[in-house]
Amino acid sequence: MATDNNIAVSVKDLEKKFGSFIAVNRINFDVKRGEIFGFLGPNGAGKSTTIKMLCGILTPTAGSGYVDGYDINREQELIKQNIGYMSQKFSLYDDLTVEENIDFYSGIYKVPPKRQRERKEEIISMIGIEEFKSMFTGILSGGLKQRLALGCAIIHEPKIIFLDEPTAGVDPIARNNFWKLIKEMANKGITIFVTTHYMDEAENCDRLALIYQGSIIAMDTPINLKTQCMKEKVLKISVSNAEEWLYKLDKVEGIKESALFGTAIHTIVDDAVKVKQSIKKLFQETDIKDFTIESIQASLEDVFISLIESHEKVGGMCELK
Amino acid sequence: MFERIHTILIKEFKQVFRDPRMRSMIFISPILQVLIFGYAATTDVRNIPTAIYDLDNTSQSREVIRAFSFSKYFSIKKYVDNDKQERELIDKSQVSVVLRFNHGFAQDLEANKGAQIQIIVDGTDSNTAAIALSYAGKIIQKYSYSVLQNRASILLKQNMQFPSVDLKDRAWFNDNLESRNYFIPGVIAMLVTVTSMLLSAMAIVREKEIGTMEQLMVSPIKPVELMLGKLIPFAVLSFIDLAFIAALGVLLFKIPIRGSILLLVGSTCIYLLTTLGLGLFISTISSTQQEAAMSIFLFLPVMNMLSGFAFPISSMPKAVQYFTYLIPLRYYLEIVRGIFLKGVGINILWPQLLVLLIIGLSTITLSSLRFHKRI
Repeated sequence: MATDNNIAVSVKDLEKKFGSFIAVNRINFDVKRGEIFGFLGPNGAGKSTTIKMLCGILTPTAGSGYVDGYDINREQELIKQNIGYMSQKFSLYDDLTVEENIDFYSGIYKVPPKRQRERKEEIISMIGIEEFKSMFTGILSGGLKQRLALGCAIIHEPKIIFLDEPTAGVDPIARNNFWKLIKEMANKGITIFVTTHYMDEAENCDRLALIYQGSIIAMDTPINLKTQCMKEKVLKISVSNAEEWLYKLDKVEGIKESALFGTAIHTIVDDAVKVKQSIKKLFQETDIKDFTIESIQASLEDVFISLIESHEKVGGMCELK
Repeated sequence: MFERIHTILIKEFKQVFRDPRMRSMIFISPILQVLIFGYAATTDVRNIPTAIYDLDNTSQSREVIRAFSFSKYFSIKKYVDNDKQERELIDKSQVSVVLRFNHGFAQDLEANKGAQIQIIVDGTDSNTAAIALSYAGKIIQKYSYSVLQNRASILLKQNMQFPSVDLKDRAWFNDNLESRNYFIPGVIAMLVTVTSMLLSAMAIVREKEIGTMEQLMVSPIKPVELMLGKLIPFAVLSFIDLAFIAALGVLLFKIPIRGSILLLVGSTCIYLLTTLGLGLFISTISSTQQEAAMSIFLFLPVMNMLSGFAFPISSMPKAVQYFTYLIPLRYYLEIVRGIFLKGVGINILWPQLLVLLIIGLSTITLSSLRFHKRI
């Protein structure tokens, strides 16, 4: 398993229990080199626990895993030398300047002295922070801090990078720039393992694992997840006073789940044609003419909600047709 | 190993000197404490404000009053002539001592009866009151003796000398019994304790608070490198404080350093094992700087009070005295005072040094084991 050179991260029956609480429940997955692999799930699903086990700072209670060929149960020190890690806390020192932060991590990762200066220039130009390089980190915007944290995490040129909720608390434009950087790195063959609970962000990943209550409930490319992983259909209903209708629609037979998406309602149904008729009838009965109902492609969030529902009913993973 | 420690050291010193609160903790605090203990916080009792309530108003009573006013311990502020005034002066803390002669004081003396003087002291400050009473006793005794001598001379019609025993006192190591000589070396011990224990704990916990600890844990840094990198700066800063206070004390207050400076440095190194170890331990039980500060202020005052910094251990109840053997600051204080004032060397101080070494090695070992496990 560890010998396959195309596999950056490989996990088999990985489990972490805290007392009787199962934080990660025997999960299995492989991440290919150069892949952006997303771990998508709500808070408390086990994302950070998994990432901590992979980074060698938490010991699994069962199962095995390999990161860059090193055993997560025995070779934590080697793993630490060969990976980059960045968390949502953007672990920087506010009272050091941008350059001093880079120098500090350079020293911690023992970047050879000859290479340090060159590497610092590379990082600074890659993250586009030239004009701020002698400023204190504390005064930088969230987006700049985020990119600097990434820069510090890859100072030693790791082949695998773990990002734990890297875009929490950053504005959308900065988030976009950040993902551009991530994609550039992936294009250079660096493996990216990223956790997030932002659905829109998850679309940037090559492959996604949906994790819920410690279990992986689906794993595929975002497009496959959206088109194949969901048996139900999604109806988008546009009507004025959508919030009011959200509750009224719950009573319509055949609607399994409804949620607001902007000003429209998304409902998950088994039989799209039948439910469409029932809703139309309901609107006509109450004299509402200004509405549209259309079948749409499920968003990741729809897929996630539906998968969680069926997982709670029957358990197990999404079986692709 | 040393490259990483070096990297952390550079970072720590930059952070310490950039943080205005840290700077004042390290430089302003020693100056203030030395000035306060040098000038203000003194337990020497002089010029006790005194009132005279003389209902007798005779040459004899005035003679006693004169004896009091000539003594440097009492300073006569007021004369009163009724109980209400007397009460008021003490209530308002305008005087701490009232000397009262009832009508008939001189008469009793002349009649060879025991004459009485009443002394009232404000017992709120029990220490000053006790000292005032003992000074007053001495003055009265001396007066009483001279009265006796006079009377005998008159009776026997010749100048008469009675045998008497005189106590000639001499205070070794502190000729003038200046309390600052006692306190300023103590300030060194206190500040070394606070700097090394509090600041090191805070600096480690701060990394947890801002999330950089997690980042460092994921890096290949070894716990021992991180530990040394975080503790060494505060050992260095403790020595800066030590040198600073010693210089101020010697130059400004003429505090003697009679012993070996090398021994002072060496024993401080040994003492730092304990305080840095405690700081490290506190960092492992706290996740925020607030928690760390709270834990330290839970036992720092106890340590301070039972160390003999201000209150003599020999006056404590026996059980408490045994307990003070557990307090490392106690030994360090004995060493620091021994070196500064007594000028004693390792031949005298080795038991204290040995105890400190044992406490220090066990504290730092246990704390670093705990730190390794937690990290």
